[in-house]
Amino acid sequence: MDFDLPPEILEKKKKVREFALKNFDMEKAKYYDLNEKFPFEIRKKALEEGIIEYDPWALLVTIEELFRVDAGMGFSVFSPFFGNENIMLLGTDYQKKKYLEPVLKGEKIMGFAVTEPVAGSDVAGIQSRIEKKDGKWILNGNKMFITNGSIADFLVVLARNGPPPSQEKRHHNMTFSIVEMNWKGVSRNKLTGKMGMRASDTAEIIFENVEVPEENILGEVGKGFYIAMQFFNISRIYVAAMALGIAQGALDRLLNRAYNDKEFSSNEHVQFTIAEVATRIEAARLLTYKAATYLFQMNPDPVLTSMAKYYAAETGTYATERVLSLLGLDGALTELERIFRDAKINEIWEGSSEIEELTIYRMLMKKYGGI
Amino acid sequence: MIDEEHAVLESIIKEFASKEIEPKVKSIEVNGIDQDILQKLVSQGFLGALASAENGGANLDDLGYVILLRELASSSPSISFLVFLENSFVIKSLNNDPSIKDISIGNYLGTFAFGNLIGMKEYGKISINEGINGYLRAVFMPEAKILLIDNGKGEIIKTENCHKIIKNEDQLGFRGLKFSTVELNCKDYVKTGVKTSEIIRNIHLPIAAMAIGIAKGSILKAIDYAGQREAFMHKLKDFEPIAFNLSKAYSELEVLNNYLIEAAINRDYKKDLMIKTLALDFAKRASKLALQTHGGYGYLLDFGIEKFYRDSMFLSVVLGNELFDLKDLSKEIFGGEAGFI
Repeated sequence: MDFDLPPEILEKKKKVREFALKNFDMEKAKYYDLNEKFPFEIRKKALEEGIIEYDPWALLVTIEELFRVDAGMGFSVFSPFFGNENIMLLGTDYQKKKYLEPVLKGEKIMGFAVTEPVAGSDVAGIQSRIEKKDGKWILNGNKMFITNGSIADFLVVLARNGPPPSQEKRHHNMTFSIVEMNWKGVSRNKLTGKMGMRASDTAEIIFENVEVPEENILGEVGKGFYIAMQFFNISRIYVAAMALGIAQGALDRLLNRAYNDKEFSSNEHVQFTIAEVATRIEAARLLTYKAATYLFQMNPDPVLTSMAKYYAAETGTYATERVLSLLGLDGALTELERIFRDAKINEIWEGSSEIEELTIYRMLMKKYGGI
Repeated sequence: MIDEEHAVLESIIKEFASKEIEPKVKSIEVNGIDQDILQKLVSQGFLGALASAENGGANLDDLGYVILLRELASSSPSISFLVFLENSFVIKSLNNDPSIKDISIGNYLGTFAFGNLIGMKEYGKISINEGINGYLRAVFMPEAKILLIDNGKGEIIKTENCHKIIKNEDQLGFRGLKFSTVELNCKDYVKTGVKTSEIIRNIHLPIAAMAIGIAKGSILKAIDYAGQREAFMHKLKDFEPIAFNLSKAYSELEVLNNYLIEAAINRDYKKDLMIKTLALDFAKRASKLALQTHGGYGYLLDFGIEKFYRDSMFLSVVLGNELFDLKDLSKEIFGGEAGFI
């Protein structure tokens, strides 16, 4: 058991930290947050400097370090690739060439569309339909809270290819397809008024009789639910890294104040809070890295993955609340107020905390042969 | 239990909040508190809630004031904070100044510079000689005609029409009241004769009332949503974790509210601090639970939940912070200096 990251990953971590500190100007971050704009300039800069690498450990520490400085700007660096693993793992040669390659080169932006107005955590409850009529796939339905929805070139979309065989098998008959956003019948509305992560793009997407070519069906027809769950094993690790970065960023700001203000840090309440928050962050990091280790060895453990996402997300909101409570108005008049608003989403997206708890329980019982 | 007189007052405020504030909560967050709402607050006597009848006020007692702030906060924490600012800070600081009447009847507003109250280094720099020059951060409703300031000696001074807004601040909460840095260029000022410490000593109970109002607004919305929204073919309320957590939160709300009423009827500084400490903590937890219950929709302005999450956090830091509050509370509990090493 080796708790140290390899030297090349540590080097990567350092490089990303330097990039974020140099390029994530807090006034700009405030501008993007206030105006709910996606920071394209940061994405461009990150591409130029080779910040994104597809080594999984490099990506994990990259996310952590970017979010440590600013979540909104950090998200813009890697979110354009959101969902690419599905094409990487399941795509045909045609799909990889046409869709994956331009995304990985930074020429196109993609997204992953599962959530619907009436079905968030309950993936099996989606109602969008993709049905074959006269030899063509026709897509209808609404998607909600779709990351990159209004800026993406294409989305990987989950829809029902048939009714569920029974109440117990609601997760059957679901299929993914790759849908280009400029196709006839696709419309999108950018969602505004989010509490946090306002620099990220979120939209509602409407599909009305959209014709999807056969070659754009992703993975096996009818197995979409399982593909989504497999993807959550990946994405939840990265959400845990986002939350870790946010928590660490909050702690950094408290440590900075404590270091520079001896009167403030002479309070034991401050000292104990620092100790407690730092301990929680370290525990969340160990859990995340352990879950990541299994995933990156192609042997994901859904229990560990859910534990990591659940605990890291909670640590992110906890740390920001604790730090703001101690720094008071001093903190609330800085970027910490934005960090506090940004942190909460990690307890909601990619599976709410309640879903993670349910997954942990069910998988544990499965291990014990109970379910 | 509250008496009949206060029960009537409570129902009037609830009706006002439901008819006049609820339809505008989104606009208040985005555009600020408009003249129409201000006039309606004036016509109800809320901006002069603590002013005497001869000064055009409603002359509410502690219990009435607490009910007012709580009910307004459960709809719009920004509106509640404005009423708190005008009463607990402005009217109370103005002593017998004639401008109390103007504020009560809505001729103009007053505001108070919290920045140098908190005493942080970067909250402004003013020099007071024959006049006042400099700047102050953290001023709510900066367009107010009257600006009250602590003179650095614990005394409150009044300035009129001699400040201008130079920068809007990052604003975590109470977005209906613009939060700004102002520049002062005042030829003269008036000492109100009121000490800052007198004002601060009396803000804990009203803060608790606002915190409980925020918790109430959060929990009631979450209970309502959980009774309607379906997932996994059931209402959210049918799931144990959601039903149990909301039921526990509702119980906590009731208990804290009862103590709030008791603290308002039998005023005691220690009680004020105790209820404030617990209410602020609860408001943060309750709004977090309510947001979580709403899922992604809770994160959107349109659903009216996210403001409670921001406002509860902001309320806990805008007039002090946990460290100050716990030192103060410990002093009361131990009957002298405690928790200072």
